[in-house]
Amino acid sequence: MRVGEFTVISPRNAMKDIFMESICGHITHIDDRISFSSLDINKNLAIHFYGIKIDFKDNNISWDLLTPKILGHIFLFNWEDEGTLKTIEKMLDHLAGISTTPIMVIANVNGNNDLPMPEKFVEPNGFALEPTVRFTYCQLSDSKCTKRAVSGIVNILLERLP
Amino acid sequence: MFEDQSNSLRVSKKLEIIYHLLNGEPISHLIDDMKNHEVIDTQKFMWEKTVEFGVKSRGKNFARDEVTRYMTPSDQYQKLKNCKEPKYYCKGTLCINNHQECARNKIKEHIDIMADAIRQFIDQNVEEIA
Repeated sequence: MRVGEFTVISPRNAMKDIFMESICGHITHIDDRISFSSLDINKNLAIHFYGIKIDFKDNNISWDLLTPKILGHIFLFNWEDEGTLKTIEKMLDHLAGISTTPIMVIANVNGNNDLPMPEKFVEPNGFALEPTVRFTYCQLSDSKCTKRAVSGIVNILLERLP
Repeated sequence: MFEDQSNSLRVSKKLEIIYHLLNGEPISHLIDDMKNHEVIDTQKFMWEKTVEFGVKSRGKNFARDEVTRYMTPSDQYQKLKNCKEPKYYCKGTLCINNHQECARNKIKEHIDIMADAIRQFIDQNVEEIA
């Protein structure tokens, strides 16, 4: 079986765990900041998600060693909490700077009230901040929405194929 | 570990601009702490996004004039500032290195106009959905 690996990076454990559980239906906690889940696409392909909680001063993860194997990075923050956006900024710049691995930044929203922008503007594969860095929003517990966001990052990968 | 490795506008700045823009907050002041090349990149980014929102919102009916007509033309801006430089010089990319404050003020005006245009494109679509 071939495996595609993605990181799910968030400033809070709950956010990444809810996101991964909504996609995979299950989650394994490795330690107090890392979790794992997997989704079988078919008998030949699975996607593995590595959930990582980060904070402002995070510098003890060997990203240089990890990133060559990672197909994409998914960043999460709370739309209603600018502090969570600030927490992911440095890591976002770092990972966007060291490789062209696709990145999807997902804002967690509460329900359908006060969405950042109509869906039309984030379809089909997110709003482009850069060619390989996209922005979208989801209610993290909404599996339909989170799966669409993952499809988006897979589509960015497919767009890059020669 | 997290040193700035790029000369262009960082992706976090772009995200921050979009975040404040979509929250209805002013964004032109975000360039105050930026280096000159970042200011130019911000203007370019905003123009690209304005066109993107415009085209997604209006399709073929989008015309760049809908946005640019609210911007002070270069010759008028130069008169207002008693500028003695040639007309073609009044571009952010050229002037920002020699007349930093003046060029930044002009770019701020453009950024605010583009932000208003983007918000209008979004609001129109929200109304259509409602």
